Amino acid sequence: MSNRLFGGKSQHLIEEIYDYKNKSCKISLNVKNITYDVIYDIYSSLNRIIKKKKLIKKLNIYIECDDFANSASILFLEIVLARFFEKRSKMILMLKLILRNKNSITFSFFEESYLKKLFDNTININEFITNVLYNKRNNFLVDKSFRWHININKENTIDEVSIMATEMELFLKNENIDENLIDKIIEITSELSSNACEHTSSDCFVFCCIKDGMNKQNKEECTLAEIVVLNFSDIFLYSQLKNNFKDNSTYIHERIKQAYNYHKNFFGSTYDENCFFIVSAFQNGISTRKGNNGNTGGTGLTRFIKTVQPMIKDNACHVFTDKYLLMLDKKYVNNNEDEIGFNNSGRYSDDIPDHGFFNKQEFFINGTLYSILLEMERRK
Amino acid sequence: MKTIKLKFGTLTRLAGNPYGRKTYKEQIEDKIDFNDQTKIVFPETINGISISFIQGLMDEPVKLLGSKKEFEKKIILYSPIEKVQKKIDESIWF
Repeated sequence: MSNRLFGGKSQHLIEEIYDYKNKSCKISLNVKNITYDVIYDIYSSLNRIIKKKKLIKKLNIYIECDDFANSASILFLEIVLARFFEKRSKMILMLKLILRNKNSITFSFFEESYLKKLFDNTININEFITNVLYNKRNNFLVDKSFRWHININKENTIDEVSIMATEMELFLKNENIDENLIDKIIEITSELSSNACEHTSSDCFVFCCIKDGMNKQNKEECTLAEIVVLNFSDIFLYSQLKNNFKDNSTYIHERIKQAYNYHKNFFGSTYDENCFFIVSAFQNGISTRKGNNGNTGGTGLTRFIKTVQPMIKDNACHVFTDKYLLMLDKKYVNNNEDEIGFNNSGRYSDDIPDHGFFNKQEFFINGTLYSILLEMERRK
Repeated sequence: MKTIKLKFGTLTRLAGNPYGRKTYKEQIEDKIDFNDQTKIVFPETINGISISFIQGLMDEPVKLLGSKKEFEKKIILYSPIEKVQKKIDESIWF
C-alpha cells in the first residue's frame, strides 16, 4: 500500500490541544457528517502527532457527529487510524466516538465495524490493525458485511479476484439476494477490483453490505447494496491513459485522439486534461494494457457503468481519484450504446461532461475509491 | 472437432482479464488446433463469468483469427449453465 493516503489543503476542522508537560494530546471534532475532507483533517492531525514522537506519548481522540457520510468513510477512517496506530504502537490511547443519528443505513454498518469495536474496547489495537490492514477476509457469514483484501505482494494473486467473487456469492446467497442481482453485484465488484489490481499494482480493499430501507420518493420498501472498492497508489484512474497518450510510441485508440481535439478547447480550472482522461477510461474498448489494439479489453469500466446504471441511487454513488470526485448520478450515467458522456447528450466524442458530474477537491486521495449504492426490489 | 475441458478447482466464479490470459496459457494454448474446430467446455460448477475474464481468455485467438466469422468457425465456447453461456456469447464481442 502506498505510504501516503492523502495530500493537499486541510480545512482545519480538528481541534488539537497539546499538553507537553504530560506528553499528551487531545484531538477533537464535532461535525454533522464524517466526510472524506473530515477524514483528511484527522489524517493530517495524526501525521503532525507522528512527527512529535518523543513529545507525545498519550493521545485522546474525541469524535462527535450525526453520521458517517457513507460506509466508505468508515472504511477510510479505519485505515487511517490503523496506519497511525501501527506507526505509534506504544502510544496510550483514549478513544470516544459519539454518533447522534442512529437510524441511518450507514449506522447499521457502523454497528458491525471494526471502528466501533475499537472505540468500544471490544477489540484491542493489535486486533484492529490486523483486521483492517492484514486480514484477507472477514467472517462475512456472521459479520453482516463482506470484506476482502487483495494483497498483490503475495504469490498467486492472479486468481484472487475469482476467489473473492466465489466467496462473495456465498455472502450474497446468505443475505437472500436474488440470483440475477448476485450476478450483477459480483460483476461490478470483480471488474472494479480486477481493474484496480492490474493497472495500479497495489492492494485493493473490497467491501459490500446489504441493508433494507425505504425509497423516500415512492415510499416503497427496497433493499440497498453498498459496494466500496478502494486502492492506494500514485497511479490514478487517468494516469496510464494520459501517459500512453503523451508517449507517441504506445497505441492510442483513434476515438481518444479525436475526442481530445474537441475537449481540449474546454480545458480550464474546473474541467481539465486529467478529467478528460478519466472520462476516456470509461469508454468501450479503451484499454491501457500492453499490446492492446482495441479488439479485446477495455470493457471493465464500460460494463460497470452499464450494469450499475438502472440501479443507481442518486447522490450516493461516486468515484474519487486524485482530487476528482465524480458523481455517478443517473442523469450523468445515461445508457448510450456507444459512448458514455457523463452529460445529458450521452456523447463523449463531441460533448464534454456536465459540470455537476465532476467536483475538484482542495485535497487529494492517493489512489482510487468507488463508492456505489444500489437500490433494488425488497429481498424476500 | 477437438474438445478441451477447463478445470478451475473449487471456484464458482471467474473474473479478471489476467486470469483469463493465464487460463488460456495453461489450459488451452498447447491443445488448440487452429486448423480444426475446438470446443472449449466450462465445468458446470462455474456459475458466473466476468466479461474481462472471457476477453483475457480469448485475446490471443481473436488476434490470431482476425475476424468474428473466422473465430466462430474455429472456436466454440460452451457452458452447460444457460446464463453463463449467454454471458460468454455477449462478452467476446462486447
